[in-house]
Amino acid sequence: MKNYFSPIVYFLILLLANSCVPDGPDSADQLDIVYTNFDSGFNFSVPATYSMPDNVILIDRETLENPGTTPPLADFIISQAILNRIRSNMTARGFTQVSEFNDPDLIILPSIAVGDRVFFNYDWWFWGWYYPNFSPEWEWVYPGYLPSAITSVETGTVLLQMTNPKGLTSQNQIPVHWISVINGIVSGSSGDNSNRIVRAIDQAFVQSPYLTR
Amino acid sequence: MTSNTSKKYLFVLILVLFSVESFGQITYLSFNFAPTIPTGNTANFIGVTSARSGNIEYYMMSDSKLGFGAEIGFISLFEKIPGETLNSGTLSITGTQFRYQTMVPIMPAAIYFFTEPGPIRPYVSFGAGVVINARRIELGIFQERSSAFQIGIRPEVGSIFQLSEYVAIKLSGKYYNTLGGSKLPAQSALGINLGFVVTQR
Repeated sequence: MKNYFSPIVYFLILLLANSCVPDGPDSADQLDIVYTNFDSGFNFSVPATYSMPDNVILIDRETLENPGTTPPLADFIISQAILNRIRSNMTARGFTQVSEFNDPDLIILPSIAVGDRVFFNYDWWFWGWYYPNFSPEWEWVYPGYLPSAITSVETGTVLLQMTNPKGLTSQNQIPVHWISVINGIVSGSSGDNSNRIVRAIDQAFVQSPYLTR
Repeated sequence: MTSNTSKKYLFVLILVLFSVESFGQITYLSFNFAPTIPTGNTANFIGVTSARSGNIEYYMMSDSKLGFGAEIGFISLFEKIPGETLNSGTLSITGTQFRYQTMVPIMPAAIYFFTEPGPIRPYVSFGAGVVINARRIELGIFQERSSAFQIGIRPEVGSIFQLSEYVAIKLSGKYYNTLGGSKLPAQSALGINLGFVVTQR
């Protein structure tokens, strides 16, 4: 009987199999993702006002190297692109921005993860320079959901936390009712970044229809 | 039957089928290029026709019209879906989804030719065995995988065109259909086979 399975046939099968590998991402923006999660027990139509800082902070580790100081800040243009887009979306959803000293119902904390991890329970000292009535003993709490579905990210990932300054629990926990993680959006040229930031933050609100008054 | 036991039985079956001496019987070995059109639940996951597919078939004729053998195939499906949102509970993720599915049918089969050996031999065949299905969704940093061994059947209609005593080409249509399970629902796909056939007498 003829030997059908000569080495040449195996080689051809190997070549064929190799050519069968489908494509993957071929540009950075194809890796962009917008993740949101929220506290389903919180009624987002009740709060009317919100506050947010004038700068976006950089988080490269879980604890602030020098507690009591201001953490590293993001590039001004990038910070403004992020903050402006949050502001326009919050306004469109019926919320009013006020100063952090005017008893806001919500406080939005924008940060950028430097490195391949995003920390959801990072040190409160990072916001010691901004958050009203700050206490370093505070902890984060994400009521009813687990944000840690994300374990590793691209550097330049934007983290938005919508906190409730009036919801401090007896365990010194500040509730985070909504969270968004925008993967790897801050990288490359700033022009390209601005467009991607606008699209991504808009998408975070689009996929969060409950965020409205 | 556990998946490990299934694998053992299949391995033995394939080994037996491919190692039997012919003793004067006609055998057909075909290498098929097999563009595949997903249908049903498979099309709901990936709707794009794939040219990344092929299979190998081997039949040993027990008489001039009826033969038995087996098929091993590889179907690779892929689709890129930009701006797709995945919702799960309170969680939502949006991004460009890269969806992959591979289907590996491993099936004992029977073939029946409507005519005696000649230049054109229309036939029907029927295979039944397992299909190894593996799905993957890649979405930025997220990856979701699922896989399942599923029982499947595969009817086929086609014709072999004998070019010489030992060489033929074949053209056929196959329909793969599997039974759904807890890991994956029923899968199905339509395959067009264009093959190079080696005939041994």
